[in-house]
Amino acid sequence: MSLSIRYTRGLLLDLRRRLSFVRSAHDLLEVKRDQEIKEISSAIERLRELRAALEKKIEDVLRDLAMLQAAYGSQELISASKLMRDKIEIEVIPRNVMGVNVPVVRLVKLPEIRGKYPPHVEGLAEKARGVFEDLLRVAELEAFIELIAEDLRRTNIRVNALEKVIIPGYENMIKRISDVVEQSALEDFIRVKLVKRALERRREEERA
Amino acid sequence: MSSSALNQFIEGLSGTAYEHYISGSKTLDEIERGLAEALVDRLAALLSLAEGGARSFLKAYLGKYETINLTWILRMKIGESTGEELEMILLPTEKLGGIELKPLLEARDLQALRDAIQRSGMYELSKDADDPLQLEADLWRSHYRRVFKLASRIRISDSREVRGFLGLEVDLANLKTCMLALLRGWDPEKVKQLLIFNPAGIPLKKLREAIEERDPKVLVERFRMFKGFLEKALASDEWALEFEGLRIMKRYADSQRISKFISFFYILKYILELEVEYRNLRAIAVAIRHNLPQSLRRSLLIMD
Repeated sequence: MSLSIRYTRGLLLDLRRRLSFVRSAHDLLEVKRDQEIKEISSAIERLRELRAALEKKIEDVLRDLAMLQAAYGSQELISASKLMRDKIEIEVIPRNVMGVNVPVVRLVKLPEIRGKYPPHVEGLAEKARGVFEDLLRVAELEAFIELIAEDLRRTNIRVNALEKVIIPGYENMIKRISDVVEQSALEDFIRVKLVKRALERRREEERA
Repeated sequence: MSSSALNQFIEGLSGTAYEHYISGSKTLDEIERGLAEALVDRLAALLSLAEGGARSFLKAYLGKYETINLTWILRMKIGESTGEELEMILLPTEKLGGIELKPLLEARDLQALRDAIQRSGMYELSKDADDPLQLEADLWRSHYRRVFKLASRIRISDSREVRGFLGLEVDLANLKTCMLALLRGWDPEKVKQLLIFNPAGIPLKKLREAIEERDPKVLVERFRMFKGFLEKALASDEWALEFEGLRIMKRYADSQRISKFISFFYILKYILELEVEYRNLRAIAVAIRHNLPQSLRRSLLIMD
């Protein structure tokens, strides 16, 4: 922080005003940081639950896939998988959370499964389709956590910089300026006293 | 881990007829291809021994592997797969005297493929159907029509057993379609279009009436002979239905007491045994690859 220092009362007042502004910014950032920590903790909790449920579903799908593969062979499943021509449509909308743009994934269209696959493969396709929705929720939550965590890191750096560098810097400067201003006020006072005493002495000599 | 276990599987088959087909295989796909090739070679050897009407029938019956190939080609063409991708999955059915697959693989789109299949003169596809499942059903219908037609030319004394075997095969296929489609809530009209006419088994009329009820339990009630088979589907194990179907076929083949030393039924039984062995080996390889628990592995095998 480089400031050209003018040891004046005006600057002292200005610095005190600035310090008060920086302190309220620091308090605000601290509130933001606490809120972000809360958001991340609850999102991690939700992610843990969602992921556990998703992993269970995926395990189930993989088990069914393995069993179907054992029953019908890989070729049957590979060829059946080509029957689906419809595409999944999703929409990613940004949402502002404490100044951070996080994505919200909206499922616009999931392909219709019924009657599109041979009946012995449809059950597996239906299960895999069910997993997809959960996968999107997990991806959305992971992106949310990642973006908020990145912002938390930046907020933390700012809070620390204010706490450890900027506020102490201002306080030091204010102290130095206020010392100098007080010193100069005292010198002025003494100087006035001396001048007053000298004038009185001269007046007394003239009278005598 | 599964890779070394697959190596053990390959080593386990060394010294058998399969060694030549799967030694050096690195992946499950390669093993599956090797096993399928071994099956087709054995069937081709069997076909080369047959003569006259028996040969014609056998060729038509073995056409089921060609029909399987055609359903795969159909699906892959819909998915716009390349010729190389297709060649990777196909069974070498040309060894069984089937139609030439090259023109089918070169077909630009579904329409060109349909035309090429029609030109072979072996299959009849519905003109206005564009639903792949209906086209697959058309292929199977053509196959079984041809097989039943030729079955009637087999010596009369063998014909009853052969027709019984074929009838059971079609019944199981039809019931599987009905059961799974109803469980998934398909429109009965669509299900009806997928059924195969069976001159030696459950009449289509009976199946259609049962489908109209839209209730899978009705199928179990009306076709009590297949109760165990149909209940596998109710337990929501689609895969188990396939194994159970083969088990029923094998039990049926084993239970038949043929009074003669020479009967065409033995050939069908032998083909079934080859198919069962192929399916068992494939299931073991898949189970190893996916590290399935021992309890499940047993349920994948078709045993005596």
